Amino acid sequence: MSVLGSANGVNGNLALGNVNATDAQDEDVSGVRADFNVAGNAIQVAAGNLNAAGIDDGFADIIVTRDLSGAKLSLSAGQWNSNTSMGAKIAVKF
Amino acid sequence: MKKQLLIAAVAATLGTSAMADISITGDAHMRYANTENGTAADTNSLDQRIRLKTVGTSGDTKVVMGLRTDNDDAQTSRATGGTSGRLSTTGLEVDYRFLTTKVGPVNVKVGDWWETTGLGLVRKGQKANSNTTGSAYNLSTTVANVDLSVQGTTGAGSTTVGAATEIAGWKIGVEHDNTNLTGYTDVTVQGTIGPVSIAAEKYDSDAEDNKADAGLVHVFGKVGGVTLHAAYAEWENDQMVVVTTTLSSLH
Repeated sequence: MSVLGSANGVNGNLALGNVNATDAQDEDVSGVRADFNVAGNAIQVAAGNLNAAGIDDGFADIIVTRDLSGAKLSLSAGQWNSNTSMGAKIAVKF
Repeated sequence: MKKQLLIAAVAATLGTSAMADISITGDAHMRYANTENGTAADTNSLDQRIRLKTVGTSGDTKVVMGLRTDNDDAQTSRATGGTSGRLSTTGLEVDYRFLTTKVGPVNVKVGDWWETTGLGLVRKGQKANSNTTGSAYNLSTTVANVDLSVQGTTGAGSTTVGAATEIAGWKIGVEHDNTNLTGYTDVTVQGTIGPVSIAAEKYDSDAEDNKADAGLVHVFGKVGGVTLHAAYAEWENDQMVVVTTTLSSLH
């Protein structure tokens, strides 16, 4: 399960993603997340503050997931450190 | 979904039949993102991954192998760090491979696999072997409601012992790696107070100056149709230990 957001792009790949200690920085993250459903769409909204790699900034993250035929489609948006991203993910298990 | 391939092979010369139980499952994802990088140029990315997992079963013994193709790296086996011999980043890799069986009350696991320590605060999706060339073994059993395990690795190896149990509805786990300078002690607690679930983890590293320690508190519960989470995590980092975790997918 996700504690905080995982939108593709800035927050899925870096900001909320890989916190790497090789930069010799103390790092911390705090935030809240809400999960709910609207009209068959699973919605995840997260916001908080991420202090990583010497950058201390707030983040926001939203992911909307719905079922396709045999797969799931997730549309997402994220923001951290003056970077914003929009993403899409198709996932399938077989 | 899971497909079972039941292959009945008739050994005519012996007059008997043998049956192999092989399970093949898999998953795939394609992730596209457009990122606006402040004043730098925008970037588009497409992460691709397809995985196949095969499990061969004979009695209490299972042989598990995962195959993977992605655009992440050029490794043949991500678990062992082997090179593919080809420069293409789209080749097929052995993602993991291991054998499990039982010796009396002891569960045995040997090979290369990925694992997560505790709630995944520091060691999430890490190699079971602590170096790039070795493999690992894990022995585990349950004694008086306490899950016990010993795990060792080859090469410049390490030994990790673990214990987990449940006390009054609270799950408690402890894991200790005795490797000098890179070892750790990890403690996790999970439980519920009324409608609120609580999960906490403390990772105490053996790295120099007591750095690379980490902690996590996560509380969550359901209010109406909404599940609410609040979390705080911190890492004291240095260059002695590579601490890679994914906040987005902690436990």
